[in-house]
Amino acid sequence: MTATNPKLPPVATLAQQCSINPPKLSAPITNWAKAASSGQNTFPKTIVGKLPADAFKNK
Amino acid sequence: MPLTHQQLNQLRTLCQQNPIGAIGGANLSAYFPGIQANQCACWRWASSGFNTAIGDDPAWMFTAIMLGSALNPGSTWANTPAAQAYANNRYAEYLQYQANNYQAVNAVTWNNWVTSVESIIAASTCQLAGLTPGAGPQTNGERYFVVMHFDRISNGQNNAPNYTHWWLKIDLGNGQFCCLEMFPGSTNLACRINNAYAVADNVECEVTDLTAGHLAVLNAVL
Repeated sequence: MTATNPKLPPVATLAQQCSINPPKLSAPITNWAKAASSGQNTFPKTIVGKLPADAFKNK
Repeated sequence: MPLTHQQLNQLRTLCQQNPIGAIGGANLSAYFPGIQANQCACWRWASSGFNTAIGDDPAWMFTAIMLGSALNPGSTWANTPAAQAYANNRYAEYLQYQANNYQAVNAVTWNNWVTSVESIIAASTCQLAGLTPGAGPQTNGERYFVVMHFDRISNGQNNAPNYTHWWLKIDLGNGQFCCLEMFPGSTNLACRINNAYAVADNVECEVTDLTAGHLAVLNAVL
């Protein structure tokens, strides 16, 4: 939190983004996902991000 | 790439069988051994299915607009001159709004300015992942939305543009939808039925389909 200046927001610094708690499982759904099959899944690979040429154009 | 008809029907069945607000969780570590919680930021899941580099966190754009700080070196944001220029220009405007006690600047109200900035950065983050903007039902009647929530005000103070959560919303038609989301420090993929983390101050980016990363995860669990 950027506490030294009250005009600065408490949520927008990098370290504070998404600083929220997961929802409570008050009504949990059981078996909504299929059983894991070990070794069968490949985690998504990171891609090289690219913004289109018109990104931010006239903005 | 869209979800299959079978996967969509599985989600539709979940909606029909569970009460509003029900939440399911699937720990991705069971499906992807070695996955680390710090790979699973909400924005990264929702906007790209973990395809986008961790360093391309849109928080860098928001922080630059708030503080005039540098963008993450080596990130796509920093390597895109238009993004740097956009952040610089909005930072200058943000200073004007602060100096004017949040009165309109150049005939643009503070709220409209914030909404514009939020929308543009959310859309750019989706474009970064290769998602295609689009509207309307897809082949099997579903619609895909990347949703970014922000906090407009905290403790009575106007916030600079920011985000506090992201999720992937799959509209299944007939008023039914699921929100699939990740949370800090966790590898748990949450599935929220017919309910959302927030209903106001959301930017909804409708896209035509999902990324390969989304499908890699959803094909594993659905």
